[in-house]
Amino acid sequence: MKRILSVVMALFPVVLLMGLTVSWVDGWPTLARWSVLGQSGIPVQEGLWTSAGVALVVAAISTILGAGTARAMQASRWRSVLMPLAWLPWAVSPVIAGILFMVVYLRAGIDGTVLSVMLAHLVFSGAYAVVLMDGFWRRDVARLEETGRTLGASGSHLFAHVLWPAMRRPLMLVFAQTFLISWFQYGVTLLVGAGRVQTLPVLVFGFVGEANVYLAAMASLLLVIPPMLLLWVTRNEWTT
Amino acid sequence: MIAEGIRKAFRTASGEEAVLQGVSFALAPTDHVAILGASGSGKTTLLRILAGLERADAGRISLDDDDITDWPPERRRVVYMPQDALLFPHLSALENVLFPLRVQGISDADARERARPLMARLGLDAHAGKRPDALSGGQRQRVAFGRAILASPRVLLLDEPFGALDHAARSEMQSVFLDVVVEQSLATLFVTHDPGEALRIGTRWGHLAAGVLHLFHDREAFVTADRTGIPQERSFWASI
Repeated sequence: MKRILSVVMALFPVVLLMGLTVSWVDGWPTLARWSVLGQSGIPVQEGLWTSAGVALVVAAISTILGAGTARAMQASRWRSVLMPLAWLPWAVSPVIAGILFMVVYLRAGIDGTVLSVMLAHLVFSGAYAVVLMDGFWRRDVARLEETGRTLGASGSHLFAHVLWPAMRRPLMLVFAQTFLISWFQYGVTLLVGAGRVQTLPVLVFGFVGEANVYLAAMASLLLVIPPMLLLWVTRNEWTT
Repeated sequence: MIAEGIRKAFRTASGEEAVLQGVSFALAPTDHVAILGASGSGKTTLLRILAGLERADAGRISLDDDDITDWPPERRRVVYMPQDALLFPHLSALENVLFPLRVQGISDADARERARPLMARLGLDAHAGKRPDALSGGQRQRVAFGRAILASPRVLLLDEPFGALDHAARSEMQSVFLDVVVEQSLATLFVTHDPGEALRIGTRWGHLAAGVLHLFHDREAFVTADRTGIPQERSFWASI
């Protein structure tokens, strides 16, 4: 029963958006309107690839940097000073941060580029990855490493047989969460991308502003499906 | 193992706090030295220094003819067993026990062959495939003990390993421990805050208080020394 309920709840927004993208007016619903995705001048397809590329790169870099930084911070005497810094991007409103980035990028001459958007997303996703991985390293991991060492394990053996198996799951969760942060980022992308970097959230807001319900629903559907697939693939990691 | 003049102090907000103040002792190859001490007396710090998990501020540790003071833990073959078993959570009971053999590059078949009698001896046959979270506290300690034994340590350091067990499990583990360490001719250093356990396990005894170790060379001297609290405890029980 719980399973059925969760599937229904998960599919509800998809069905709703799907309903908005098919034509009910001229007879039986068809997917005819989806053909606009292939037409030139409607940048939904390009927005999908831009969003996917940015989110994947940001999530990968955030996960690696977050794991390494959080690990280094455990041994640092400055941990109590550094940890609040990791929370700072979230304490500042993304829009305000976006304006700050915009000024910096304008001076650096990289405003309105995919690179500038990635760098801005990295500040939020990377900081969040540090916070999440800090929780992982603070558990018994260091003591398990010590145990392994007194049992004779070298650095490479420890990594392969103790650290990596313990890290795999948290890394997957950090990757999924940082992917979602970047994927749904709107305010910062709009400001830093200067309207030239068209990710899916930017397009959705644009279509909504134009009262273009069909395209807004279509782009929203594309925006919702990949995260739902990601949640589905990693479902065991979230629930155990 | 010979420890000479081990000193250690920790920095605290109110200045330096001396935890070990020139601890010295000698441990013969089949000695079982039980060190009695209250919480905060420096017991754990002493064991961690002997295992190479912490550096002493001063002093020297030698094992056989080697000066191992600066050796890393993985090179010492001095296994440290803490109160919580610290089993590798992603490995089964048997895989945990096999860990030190795999570290040594022993083939899986040979490792299993060597582990089989010990698993039976520790009553773990029926639990070999279970993950640590499916084992009781006593079973986890047996697995940790089996893992330590298969590492073929030159010295086994035990930090209140049975402290978290109930009375029955604790008594049973003490018997198993004594049988196995005698059988394997292991040198052990066992710290506890329980005088009864110290008397049962030890062949020599010590008392650690405020970072100063006092050694007793016979049982009578240990049980009659006021500093251990044993005479006071005996008179309490006699008065009931």
